[in-house]
This record gives sequence, structure tokens and C-alpha cells, in this order.
Amino acid sequence: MKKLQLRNILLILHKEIIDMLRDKRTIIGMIVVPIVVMPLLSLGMMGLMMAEMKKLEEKPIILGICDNSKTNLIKSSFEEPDQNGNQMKVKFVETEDEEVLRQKVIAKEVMIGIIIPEHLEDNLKANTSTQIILVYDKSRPQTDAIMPKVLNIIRNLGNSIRDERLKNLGLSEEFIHPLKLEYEDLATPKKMGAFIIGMILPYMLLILSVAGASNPAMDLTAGEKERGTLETILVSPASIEEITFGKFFTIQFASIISTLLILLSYFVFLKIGLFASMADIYLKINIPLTSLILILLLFFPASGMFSAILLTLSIFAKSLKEAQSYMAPIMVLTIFPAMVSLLPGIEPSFLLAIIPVVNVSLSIKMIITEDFNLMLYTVTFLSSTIYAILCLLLTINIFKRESVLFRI
Amino acid sequence: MLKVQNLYKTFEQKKKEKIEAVRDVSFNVNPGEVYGLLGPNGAGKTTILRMISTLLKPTRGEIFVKEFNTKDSSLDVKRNLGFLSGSTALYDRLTAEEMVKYFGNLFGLEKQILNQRIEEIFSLLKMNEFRNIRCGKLSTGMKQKVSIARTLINDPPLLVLDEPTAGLDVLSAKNIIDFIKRSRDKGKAIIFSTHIMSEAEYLCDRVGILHKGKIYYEGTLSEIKQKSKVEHLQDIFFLLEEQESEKTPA
Repeated sequence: MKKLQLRNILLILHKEIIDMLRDKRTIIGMIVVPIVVMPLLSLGMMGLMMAEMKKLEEKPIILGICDNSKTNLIKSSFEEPDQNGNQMKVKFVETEDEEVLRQKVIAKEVMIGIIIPEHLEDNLKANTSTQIILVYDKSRPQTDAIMPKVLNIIRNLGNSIRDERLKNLGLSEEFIHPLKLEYEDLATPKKMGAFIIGMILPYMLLILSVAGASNPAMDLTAGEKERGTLETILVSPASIEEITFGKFFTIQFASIISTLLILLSYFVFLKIGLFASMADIYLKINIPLTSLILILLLFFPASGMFSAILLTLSIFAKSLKEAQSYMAPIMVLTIFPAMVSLLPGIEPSFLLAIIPVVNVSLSIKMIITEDFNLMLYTVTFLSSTIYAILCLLLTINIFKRESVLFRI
Repeated sequence: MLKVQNLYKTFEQKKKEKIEAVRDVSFNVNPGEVYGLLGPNGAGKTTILRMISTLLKPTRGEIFVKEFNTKDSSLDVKRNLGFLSGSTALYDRLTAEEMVKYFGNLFGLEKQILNQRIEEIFSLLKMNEFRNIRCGKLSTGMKQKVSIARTLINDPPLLVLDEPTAGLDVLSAKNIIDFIKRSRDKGKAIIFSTHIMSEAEYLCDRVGILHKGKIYYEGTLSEIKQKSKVEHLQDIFFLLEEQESEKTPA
């Protein structure tokens, strides 16, 4: 490798950043989408979900009932307020034929059907069990939301009958519950927040890093080939290495800036309370400055590796269109290893610390959840740096090939 | 100024098929001389000029620009030449001045000298009225002037021009022709390729007739006409094509 002139690298970097910031497409992709569109989309989705849930709460539950016992026992239990004094809004559709009730569930006329057998009263008197049948359609989205409420009411009715029977026998509830469980969760809200952020943040950082680098990578190489400006810079006295470094740092700059912008915008949206329900969790965590520095340090070689890979693929492409077709597989190849932070039970290890993307994802999770291990962090940092350097050397090698540069 | 010796270039295609794009080409270009490489499309003109400007590496043979060999002193070679072709485009999002300044900086020109050169070139080429307009918004003629300014910013002793007038209208082409004549008068060595014979007859001191990667005739235009016994320069290509088909068995 010839002696590199830092001056030329900085000149190329400066020019590429000016050029990039004057490109409307890059501005939209790098700034507008991350700081406005993505949070608003998330906000919109969340708002929509919350509105739907509220609508479901307010809407009366339509239950079908086929009471063969004619006792009205189950129906009246739905009309009583619960322990907290809340009254469930229920509308009953009564039928005398079980098959008709099933048809009504299928036809979505009722949400859940309840079939009560003829001998309910006799069974109650004889202190035996009675089988109540719940008819439902699992493929309906409302079923999962309503079923726990219906079960709760029927279970409460069953419990009060049980308690009455025990009382008649002179026994207390403790007789049938010899062991009682009490739950004591030591996770503080801060720790819970760290746990959730620790799962999401590594995945987001890695995916956003690739997404932020892909547009500039394509524009600075395949785009320049298409526009004919690559040949112009190649005849300048800047060496291939200097040109590659200049373009590489521009892409990495774009990747880091767009990722940081999106995280910052989410933070601001949380801070001003737009994601009220999420803010309760996230704002309770306080990532120390040292952790942030450790994450950024690790993010540097990771984004470097992505930038070099995207640069190599883009320079190889004949046109922007061909370069775009290479981006989707890279995204898929990043998504899966990055998702490791979302999976429960996968703990950082020395083997995982040398697997690209997986290592960074797990290390960031490790830093946020305060399970920091310096040895694993160092291995991750070093291996990521080595991968980034190797990818950059490969890029320079590819950039030097006539067959690639003039593959038009 | 420019010495090309026994130059060969072979391209390897898919399935290991080899194409000999340039075969045993040798010529010199002296200061104050315009040398024309004439040939139809696919004759090897661009490949030779790209090898001179170090964009491509020769398979065999050597190229010297002043005392520098393209093989081991590519950066020194690039510092001594200005390359202009149809495929050396401009950055659309930089202004005319930023474009020229960027290349001047890459050539390592000192700030004061660079600014002085920019003023001289912009006045000479009448570019001041659009110096702050982005290249993407310029007309073809204006763009051509920016490209010339970019080529001249380091005041190179050798100019390598690959079909510089291709696709230009008459007025834009005149910019280029005036630029070549002016550069020759200033003592620069100029090599330029074209397939427009009238341009060659008007500008070139010496020409090389290139056909399928090989120079068949070289000299002044009158010498070539005499050697080949043709009245019009373009008839040489028909003659070479005929000779080629006679050699190939039916």
C-alpha cells in the first residue's frame, strides 16, 4: 500500500459529506425519515392499538347462552359487579338449541357461547361437578381479549360455590390450599426498563446502522459509476486507497449520524410524553455515561464493518438498480444475528463474542442490563475491529480491480 | 513528453475468453504537438488513453509521461496529465467553482496559487457568470467548460482527451477545439482520440490510424494519405476492413 495522504482523505470526505447533504434523497433517508417519520409511524401504530383496545373495552361483550338448566345462575353472575366494583358490559343472546349457538359463534353474531347442561341444579345439590362448555372461534382477534374476562367470572362463581360447600362442611378455604404462593419480584422498575431496552436497543442500533449506510454507499459508488464521476476522481492524484477511505468514512459518518438521530428522536418523543405508556418503563432507566461510551465504542467497528461491506457490494454493481438488489440480502443477513438480543436464554460467551453482529448485539445487551464482563467486551471489540479492517482491505482490493471499476 | 512502447492490453471475458484490445502499439507525443488517435468504435482508442491516464494497467509494454512510468509512478503520471473524456462527468451537486477547487486541492495546489489559477481559467473560458451555479443546473456547453477548467487546474504538460467533442453541439465542440489549439500554442503535448476525420484534419499535427487494436499508419496527414494511397482519410478504414476480410478464409 502506498503512503496515504491524510489531506486527500479529508478532502474527499469533506466533499462527499457536502455532496451527500445536498442530496434530497439522502436528507430524507438520513434525517427526515429517522427523526420524524419513524417515531410518528410508531406513535401512529401505538395510538391505533390503544384506540382499538379502548373501543373493545367500551363495546359490550356479546355472549350467547344456551341454559338447559333454566337456573339463570351463570347469566346473573355476569350482571354482578366484580371485587373492584366494576360492572362488565354484557349483552346476552339466548337460545335453546346448542347447535344454533355454535352457528351463531361461527357467524360472528356472538363472541363466545356458553352451554349449561340440564342437570346443573341437581349437581349443585349433590355437591358434584358440572361441565360448562365455552364455544368460541380462536381465529377471531377479539377472542383472546374477551376470554380471560369470561373465565374470570365463571371461576369466581365456581370459587364462591366451593367456599359455600366448604363452609357447610365446617372447613375453611385453607383445607384445599395447603400450600399458598406469594410472588416477590425483586426487579426494580429501573431494572425492568434496562431488561426491555437491553433487548430492543442492540437490535435497533445494528439494523439502523445498515439502513443508514446503504443509501450513501450506493450513491457514492454505483451512483457515481452511473453518472460518470467515478472516472473523474480516479484520474485525480488521489490514490485508490485514499478514495476508498474517503468514501468509507463518509458512509460510516452517515450510518452513525442517522442511527444517533433516530435514537435521539425516540428519546425526545418519550421525554415529551408522546409514548406515555412506554415512557413509564423507559424513562425509569438511566444509562450511565460510561455505558454509553462503551456502547458507542463498540458501535464504531460494527458500523465500520457494515460500511465496508456495503461499499464493496455497491462498487461491484454496474448500476444503482443492481446495487439496490444487493442491499436486501445484507439487511436480512443482519436482522437475524442482530435478533439474538431479543431471544431469551442466550448468554454472552467467548464463542459468541467472535461471531460478527451476534457479538455486538449481546455485548450491548450486557452493558445495558449491568451484567458487564470486561473480558467478553474486549474480545467483542477486538474481533469486530478485525472484521472491520478485513472488510476494508477487501473493499480496497475490489476497488483496485479494473474488471469491477469498468464493469459497465 | 509521452512515450508509448510496445503496448498490449488483453481483457479476460467470462469463460476465460481473451480479447486483445491493444496490440503492439508504440508512438511518441512531443511538447507543442497534437497527436490524434483515429479509429472507428471498438478500435482500442479509449483503452490506450485509459492506460496512459493509469486507469487501466497495460498487459505488456510501457508508457512514460515525462520520466515517469505508469507502472510504478502512477501518482506522478497523474500529476502531469489532464484527462478529459465523455465519461469524466461533473458532480451535479457542487458548483462550478467548488468542482474546480476540489480538484485543485487534490493536486496539492497552495491556496493562493489555486485561487489565482481559478481566476485565470474562469476569465479565459468566460465562466464567471455561472461559477456559483451547481453543475447539475448548467447547460452542456457550460458543463464542458467546467470539465476543461478541471483538466487545466494543475497546468499539466500533457493533455489526454478521449473523444472530447462526442455528443456535443457545434458551439460546445468549438469550446473544445479552441481549448486544444490554445493548449498546443502554450507548448502542451496533446493526445486526443476521435472518429470525426474533419476534426483530425483540422487539429492534428500527426495521427495514428488504429484498427482492431493496432496502429497501421502513423505520420502527418499528407504522409498517411501518400502511404495508403487514399484521397480521403476515412477511406483508410474501408481499405483496412477489406484487407482484413481478404485475410480471413471464407
